[in-house]
Amino acid sequence: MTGRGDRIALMATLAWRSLRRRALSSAVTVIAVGVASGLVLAVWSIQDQARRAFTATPGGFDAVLGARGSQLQLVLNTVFHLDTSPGNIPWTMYERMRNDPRVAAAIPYAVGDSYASYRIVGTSSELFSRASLGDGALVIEPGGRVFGPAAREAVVGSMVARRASLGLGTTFEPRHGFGADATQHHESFSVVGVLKATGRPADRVIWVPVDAMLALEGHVIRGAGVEYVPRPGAAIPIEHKELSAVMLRLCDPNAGFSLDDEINRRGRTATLAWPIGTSVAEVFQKLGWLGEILRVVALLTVLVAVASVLAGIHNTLEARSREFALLRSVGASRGIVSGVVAGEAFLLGSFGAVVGVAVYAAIFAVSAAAVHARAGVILDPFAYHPVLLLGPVITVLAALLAGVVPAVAAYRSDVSTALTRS
Amino acid sequence: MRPVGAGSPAPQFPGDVIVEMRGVRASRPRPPDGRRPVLDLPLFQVQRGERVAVLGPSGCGKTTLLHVVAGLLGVDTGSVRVAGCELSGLTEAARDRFRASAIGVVFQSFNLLPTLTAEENVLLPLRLCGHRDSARARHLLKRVGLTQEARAPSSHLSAGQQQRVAVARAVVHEPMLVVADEPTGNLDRASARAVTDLLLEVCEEAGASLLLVTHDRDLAARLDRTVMMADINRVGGSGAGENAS
Repeated sequence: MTGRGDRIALMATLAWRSLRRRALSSAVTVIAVGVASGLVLAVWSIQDQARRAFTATPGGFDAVLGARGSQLQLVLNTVFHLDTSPGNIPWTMYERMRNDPRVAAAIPYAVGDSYASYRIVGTSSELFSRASLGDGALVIEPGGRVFGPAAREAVVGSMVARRASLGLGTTFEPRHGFGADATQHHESFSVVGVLKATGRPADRVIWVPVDAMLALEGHVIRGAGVEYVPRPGAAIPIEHKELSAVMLRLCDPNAGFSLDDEINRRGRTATLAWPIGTSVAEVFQKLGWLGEILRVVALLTVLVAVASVLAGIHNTLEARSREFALLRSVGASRGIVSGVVAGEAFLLGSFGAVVGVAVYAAIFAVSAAAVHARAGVILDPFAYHPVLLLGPVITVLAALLAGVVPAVAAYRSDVSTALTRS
Repeated sequence: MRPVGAGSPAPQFPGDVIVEMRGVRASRPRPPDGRRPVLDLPLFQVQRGERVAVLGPSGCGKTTLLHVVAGLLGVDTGSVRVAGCELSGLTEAARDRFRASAIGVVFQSFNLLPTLTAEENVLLPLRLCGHRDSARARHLLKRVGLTQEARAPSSHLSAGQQQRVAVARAVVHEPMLVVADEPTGNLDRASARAVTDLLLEVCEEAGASLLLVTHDRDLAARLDRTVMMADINRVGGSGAGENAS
């Protein structure tokens, strides 16, 4: 090893041993730096990932047609299966969309029932058709099949199958509504298919034929503007049918502009949420201030962590002045002494950065599980974000910067005075 | 071996004088912003291979004299030649390199870096010169009777053992001069005698001169020459300051 390399190795050894000698305070500082670093990584990365995941979730659809009201509520209700439905639209609107040349595929959605807290959506078998929806179509695991057109059959999402123990051949009785106020239906549905996991909200939904759902005992439908109670075993006249929404796949972007103008600007009875991602993106924009607050909080923790590095090292200088003087007395330069101090800051920062990645991983795991359970959206732990590379580097640099003050103090200490003082 | 750090002045000294201080005046900081004179030496010399004891009461400037000779403290005026090198003309960094290659030091107490083992402490001067002769360090530890303690943290050693490690460290790089500041001041009589014997022996084996500051007249009597600080320092009596050592 060269003389220079040996001196660097000596500085590293002395720095490491010094930290080890003060194991408790060093560990506390490393944890403080790690938590701060992890928070920064989490705030920046998870926020960005959530935005990407939510805006990329439509699953083969370009637009949603629903009752007049909030586009965001419509998207949350139909794409993410969150929130309540803004209201219903008559079946005839669905028929009109199906026959509209600007629309490549129109899928009906009827919501309002649940089982084991999981949402039941009445729809058509087209939802599982690659011909209609391409890669956005839901895929059923081998051994299963799509439900019959009006049969009391169901296809369940992968999460529902796992958590509510609904496998092929099992049956369940839906409840009308959600939560404590829900009332029990007494018709039972049998599971004929389980979906392959998609990482999308579809995983936590039970899909049934829309006609079977509308016909459930206790349902009152108002598609024609008057109340109609379906009779058991009898087909529901089309004019009485109603839906919560219609999911649309458009032929081209121009169709979106055209439908937007027709339904949202000139029409008064329905709302078209298009493009779907834009509505979600608006939510993130509107909640941008919350992200800013989180970022400021994360940066403040970094500031506190950096200060703890500074204080942790600086407070030891007085007690170690004799140690540094001894080092100088055997020929170490001021540079080596300050290098030892800076080395300690570097090591604290480096270990802190490593702990930070672990903290980030833990925060990510908890957040991803919560987002998946509540919204069915999967966050990718390996998705790249610049902060994942820059964060650890900046952590080390910030710790080094904090080490400058004590390093300069060590550099300026007078060896002869320190030796005579002790 | 006499390793010399890169860029350090080459030790060359004609004749037999290894330390020569002429017209040296040195001072120490006096808070808040003044300085107080501590040393005023018209002439002080140590011959090559000579073992010199410096005696004097506390505060008479003995330690300051050692620090100036070791290049730990700069002088205000005068010439300090050590091993043929004019220290007063060197930068502090050059004095550091010179010290690393040509001078060994032993202090009264707290001689070792507590985070290093005994062997690592002995190796320190070599590593600062870019050498890593572990065999020599181990040989010296064996020489001072601490083979078993080589890997022990220095903080686990007794005061006497720590001083023996310090003695080994002082000569590991085969310096031309060893300066010792009351090396037995913190030891019991038996340990003090053992450490003194060791110091004299290893200095002789290494061919190093010895400049030793002490209160102990018996110890001083074992060296080649004794110098009374009051005789050479014109900042007389307690004028060197109570805290100057």
